[in-house]
Amino acid sequence: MHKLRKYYLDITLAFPGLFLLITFFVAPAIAIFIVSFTKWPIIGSPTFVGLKNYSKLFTDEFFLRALKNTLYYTLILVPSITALSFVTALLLRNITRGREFFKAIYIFPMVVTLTSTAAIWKGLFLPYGPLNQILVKLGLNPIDFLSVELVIPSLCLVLIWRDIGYYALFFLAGLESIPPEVLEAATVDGAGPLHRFRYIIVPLMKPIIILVSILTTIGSFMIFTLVYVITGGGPVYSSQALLNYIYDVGWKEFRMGYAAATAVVYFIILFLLSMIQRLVIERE
Amino acid sequence: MNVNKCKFLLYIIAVFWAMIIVFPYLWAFRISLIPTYTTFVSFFPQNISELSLVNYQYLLFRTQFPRWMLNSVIVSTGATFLNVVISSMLGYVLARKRLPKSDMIFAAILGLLMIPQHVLIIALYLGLSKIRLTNNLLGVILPLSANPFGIFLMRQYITLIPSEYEEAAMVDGCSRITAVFRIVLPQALPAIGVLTVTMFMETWNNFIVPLVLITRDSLKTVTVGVADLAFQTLNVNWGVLMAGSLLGAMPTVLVFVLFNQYFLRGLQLHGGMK
Amino acid sequence: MKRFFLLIGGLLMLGFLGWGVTIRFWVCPFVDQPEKFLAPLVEKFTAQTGINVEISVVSYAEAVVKYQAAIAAGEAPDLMYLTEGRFVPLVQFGNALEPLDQYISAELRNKFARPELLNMLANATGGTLYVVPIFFVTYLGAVNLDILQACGVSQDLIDKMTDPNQAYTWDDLLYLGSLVTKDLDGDGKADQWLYAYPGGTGWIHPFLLWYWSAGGSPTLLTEEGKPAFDTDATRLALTFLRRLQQEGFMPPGVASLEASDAIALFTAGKTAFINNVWPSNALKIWPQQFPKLNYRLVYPPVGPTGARTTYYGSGLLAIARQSKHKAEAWAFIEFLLSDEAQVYLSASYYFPITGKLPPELAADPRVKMYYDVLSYAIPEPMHPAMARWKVIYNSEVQAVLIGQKTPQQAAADMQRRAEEALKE
Repeated sequence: MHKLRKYYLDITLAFPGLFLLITFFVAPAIAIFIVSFTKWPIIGSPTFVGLKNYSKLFTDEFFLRALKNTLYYTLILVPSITALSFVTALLLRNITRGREFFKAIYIFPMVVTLTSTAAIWKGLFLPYGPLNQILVKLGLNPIDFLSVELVIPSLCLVLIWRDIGYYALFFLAGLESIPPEVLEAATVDGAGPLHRFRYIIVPLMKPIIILVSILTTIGSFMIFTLVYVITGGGPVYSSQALLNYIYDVGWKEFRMGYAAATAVVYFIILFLLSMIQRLVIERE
Repeated sequence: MNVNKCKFLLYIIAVFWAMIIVFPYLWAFRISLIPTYTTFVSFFPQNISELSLVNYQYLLFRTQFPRWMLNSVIVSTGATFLNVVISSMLGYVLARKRLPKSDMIFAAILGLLMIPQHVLIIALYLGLSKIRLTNNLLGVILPLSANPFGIFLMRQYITLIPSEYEEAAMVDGCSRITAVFRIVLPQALPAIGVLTVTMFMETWNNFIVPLVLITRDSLKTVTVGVADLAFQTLNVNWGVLMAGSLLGAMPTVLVFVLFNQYFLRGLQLHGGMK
Repeated sequence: MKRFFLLIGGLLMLGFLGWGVTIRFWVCPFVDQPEKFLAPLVEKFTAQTGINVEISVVSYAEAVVKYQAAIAAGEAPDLMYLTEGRFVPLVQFGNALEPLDQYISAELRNKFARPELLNMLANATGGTLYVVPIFFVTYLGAVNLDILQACGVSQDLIDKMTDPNQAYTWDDLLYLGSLVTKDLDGDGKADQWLYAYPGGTGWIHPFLLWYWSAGGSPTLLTEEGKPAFDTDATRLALTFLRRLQQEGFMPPGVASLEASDAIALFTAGKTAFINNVWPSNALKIWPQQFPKLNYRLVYPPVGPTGARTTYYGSGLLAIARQSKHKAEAWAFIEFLLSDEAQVYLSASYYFPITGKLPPELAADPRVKMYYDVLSYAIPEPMHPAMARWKVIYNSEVQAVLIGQKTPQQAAADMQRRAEEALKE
């Protein structure tokens, strides 16, 4: 009792936050975990099935396809965004006049809400949309951006276009924190710009590179809205990311138990991925 | 000489990239000004009479779009306010490690960042329906009110604020709670600014929660409303969709323009903190 | 005297209680802005009965999600718009719909243009009827008359396709293909073909049309209740499509052709035959947007096993079991089945299920064709695994069209994958 009295203020301060977190995050997460061991069509009552959902996952071609898609997204997005935003930061660094202006513009797509951006790009990708219009003007054949082969790269294009400016600011902050003396000393020692880049800038930027990689990885796994608005997972599930799969399976196929199991596996994969990436940092 | 040529080239690239960034929005604006869009349309209108405001008229008068905007404003301001208050308080408690196992709690909260709401939404939905908060804006606000990222931000920033200030104040006879409000929080104002801006955008942007929780057309938020416009029937009304997308994005853009410095500073904080 | 007043009082009370009730009706966009389209009907209904109808629109993509969420939360709308592919799980998994047999009078039953429809719908849910159709579409075929005539196709053959009392077969189609496939601009490659199968489609019906024409199971299930994919019907259909392709009667790239593009090829005059023309295209859109297209609607062909089928879909209404206003909801359904409402609804280019048409449509011979095929049309299979099966059979058809698999292999793979997808 005495102990509680001691924490009186702290509990009061912390209580609303902890209460909301538990009510809206922890409790539902536990509920979903429990549901993953059942078969539940939402409008009916759940029936316990043990580990059947989990064992089915590994032979389910639709889950594996969604997993493959998500990995494909990640594989394209993480290197591209990390590299391109780094380059953009270097670009910004070397521009003295109007830097704030450019920063603001590059960040702009991040500011616009994703559903609006998705709707706009949906129109851009149309057969008679401006992208194809430009291609035709250049004498090339129009491209079906949302075809089975091209849909994932096209959606990645949207995300890259959107995220570069945002992550460039991370790199920019890092670049600005490099003490100029270090670079000066290197120049005095005769190191050319490329040398300076490779052996000074990049190593100093390593933490930011890692940070951006982790953030983009998590971001790639959390793709949902873009796919939902532009393709709905199509054509024939070729753009369906894991979260879209979980949503579709649970809500549209009346298999919420199975969706919950997929969600648990999803979380485990994501968790492991971040752990691995963090281990890579420690190693450095 | 060479340096100048380099700089010039860089400027060209920067401008070129800026044009690429802006192009889709300009195009959307262009399309929002023509009645039908089913074939190639040139970027620059041939003459002024081609343009028309039908799409905006339709959007504002024949759909519930204004209502959707209002709903989004209500949800975002409500959730942002709650987030700021809650994150500050909880962030302080965790930063000063006032509760036992504060670090573990903080790590657990960070872990929550990896659980997307899409996965939790069915449980949220059923829980909220039991207390009759579905099809209710409050039901949308509450799940958005405790964002782990906000807590992370405040806790990290407050950790950087030396605790000597409030200790000194308390020695002078101030109660802790007053110290928090009079001394710590004012110093955390930059972080609070960033938090407000970020949370406003995140809550405005949130898609899955209003998607599932709200079915009544008059209670939809702008994000869901715009997405619905993209699904209407086999033939999407592109003009209206573009108009809706642009208008629906206005508030976050406005917030960004007005609070530009907070937003950019926040990223530097974020980048620097790790 | 006292009893008389009690009766009047009672009736007035009932009327009063019924008056001012609002029923909630969720509807999919079978037309643009359905709430505007239905407003005049709702007004009339409210004026007649005092019952208000509050309409909300749910997109087809989200309808199932929204209904489930609402039912699970106890907030289901009183009246729900459904389709063949969407209602069975609501009954099977949640028993969420009100049985309607008790509401339908024998008189009402007879008003339906095809009374067995009700039995078919009831059979999908174990014999009890849970949904009532309001309007429908069937699919017809079409041919490009200009192409046919330019290629010397005999009037006899054309008559076989357009006369309800005659029939044409798959062999006739092959013959037609040999006549119409031509290289018109002399560059050595054909630029006019018979038919474009949308191999890249995500739609349900393109494959099913040929599968059913080959005698395939309407429910995609065998009599034992297993998936019916490794069957003659599948093999016949796949072999035929492959043959069309190998003979060159289909344009290149059909393996990844989208359904809307296949239709576009027809309206652009590049293909001579198409088999999925729905009413709004035939009666409104094509005459408006493609006035130069000289097309003629044709009946479906007779398949190699003698089967003649086409696809049909309808707008179904159901009452939620949770509803507190079931009688009022039913009153609205009955109202929508009334002559006046049915005539009005035909403006959506869905045809009234009772066959009550406005004079212009009633006199249109094309409309008659759409009603003719209703007697052998098959609806979307109502199996819960349909969404997965659709992906499976479409991808297998694609594999055949790419030449990656033989029809036999594809059929076997379809079967295996379909059974796998059924394993819960």
